Amino acid sequence: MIVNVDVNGRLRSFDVPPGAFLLDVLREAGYLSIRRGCDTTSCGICTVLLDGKPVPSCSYLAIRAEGRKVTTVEGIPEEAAKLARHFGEEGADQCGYCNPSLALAVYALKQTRPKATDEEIRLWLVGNLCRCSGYQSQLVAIKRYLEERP
Amino acid sequence: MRIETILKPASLEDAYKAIAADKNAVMFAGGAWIKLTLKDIATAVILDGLGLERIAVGDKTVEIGALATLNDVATHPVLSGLYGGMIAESCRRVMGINVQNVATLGGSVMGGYAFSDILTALLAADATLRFQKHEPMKLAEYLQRKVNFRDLLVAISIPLKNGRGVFRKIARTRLDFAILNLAVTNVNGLYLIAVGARPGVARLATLAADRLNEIHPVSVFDIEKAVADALAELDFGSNNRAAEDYRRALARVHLLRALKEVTFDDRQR
Ligand SMILES: Cc1cc2nc3c(=O)[nH]c(=O)nc-3n(C[C@H](O)[C@H](O)[C@H](O)COP(=O)(O)OP(=O)(O)OC[C@H]3O[C@@H](n4cnc5c(N)ncnc54)[C@H](O)[C@@H]3O)c2cc1C
Ligand code: FES
Ligand code: FES
Repeated sequence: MIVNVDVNGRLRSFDVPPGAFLLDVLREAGYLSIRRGCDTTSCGICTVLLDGKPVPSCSYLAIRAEGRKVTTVEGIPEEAAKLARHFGEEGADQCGYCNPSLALAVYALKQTRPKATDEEIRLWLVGNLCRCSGYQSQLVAIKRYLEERP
Repeated sequence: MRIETILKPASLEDAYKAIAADKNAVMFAGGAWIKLTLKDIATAVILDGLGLERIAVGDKTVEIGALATLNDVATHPVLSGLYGGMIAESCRRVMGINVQNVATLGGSVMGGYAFSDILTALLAADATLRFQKHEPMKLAEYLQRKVNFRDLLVAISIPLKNGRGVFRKIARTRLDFAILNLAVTNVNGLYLIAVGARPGVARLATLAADRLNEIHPVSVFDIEKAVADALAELDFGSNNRAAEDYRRALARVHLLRALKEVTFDDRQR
């Protein structure tokens, strides 16, 4: 079946099997920043923005995205670069596997709550797991990013 | 996980018929839990486009469409304040924002999960379930009777009453399932006390609440008695998260605090 989705501002039509999940469809189409972790809605690694809201693409049926806007990290290059700079300065990443999903979730936070407190940042990101960082340095980097003027 | 066929019904009646006619068909709401089970599905019936995500505030009730997400509920202007934000808080305590953006209230009810935080809060809010085919049914009765009919849950109806409420989830980490959860409401001296993840599915402590409802005004001693009644009335057990004794000890402390919170002002506590 055909699914029409706006991916990063570009209208795309995907011919997908009925039960395909968004994660598989997007990766197949070359959006390789989206990664597979648990594949069971538990780790947040597969996060994309759907109409601006973070969702786990591993459990989101592609057909449900018909007519909607999907954003991957390729769609927010300037913001992702800013966040990456703070991550580098704070030593907030190691393997980097979680970074695209984290960047999207943090970007969505900035749109919703630009003045988020430490507690609000922690709560917002509770479902975005990172096996390397220990989270504290990420928190500092995210605060610096939120404080940056647009 | 494989899904053979997808159905996108054009009406609520068609959605009902799709699962009534085929025992291998499943309703696919947020899909968050379905994906976790990794089971193959012959036919998934998706519920988008039927208006089920609406939250409608009436004079006496708020009707939460079955496809409203946990985040829709947590951020809704009326629901986020109802019973001190009790229902909203139960939604916020499920995983992180990405799961809250897809998991639905309908899936939370129909899943009937023993660990559920949502069911506990909905019980204390005196929720009623509205189905496509069956008559409306109180959530408490639905859970008690372990009804297993195949029907489409259309909405969850919550009475709009001015009362106090408290929800508590006790878990080892923010992401984990509850070791125990509880919700308590007090609407003009009428109490509802719900405890879940005992580890059994959420239940009301009706005897404890009924006794408390006959007393005006309620004292600290009455509350202590109500907690003892609730502990006697509810079953607790052990699993890999906690032992029965520990759960009882947690329930004793947290029920006492919650009942005080919905009964007294800060100063009196
Ligand atoms: C990793 C993870 C952790 C979780 N942790 C918690 C937690 O700590 N506390 C908590 O309370 N919850 C937790 N949940 C559960 C979550 O809150 C939802 O209850 C769950 O995801 C089901 O909602 P869904 O929309 O994803 O339903 P789905 O997965 O789509 O469906 C679940 C079940 O309900 C049926 N169903 C759905 N909608 C309807 C309907 N309208 N009519 C009839 N049947 C229907 C489906 O057929 C299926 O059997 C967790 C979920 C996940 C994935
Ligand atoms: S891969 Fe989707 S939540 Fe883990
Ligand atoms: S940096 Fe390795 S998983 Fe986050």
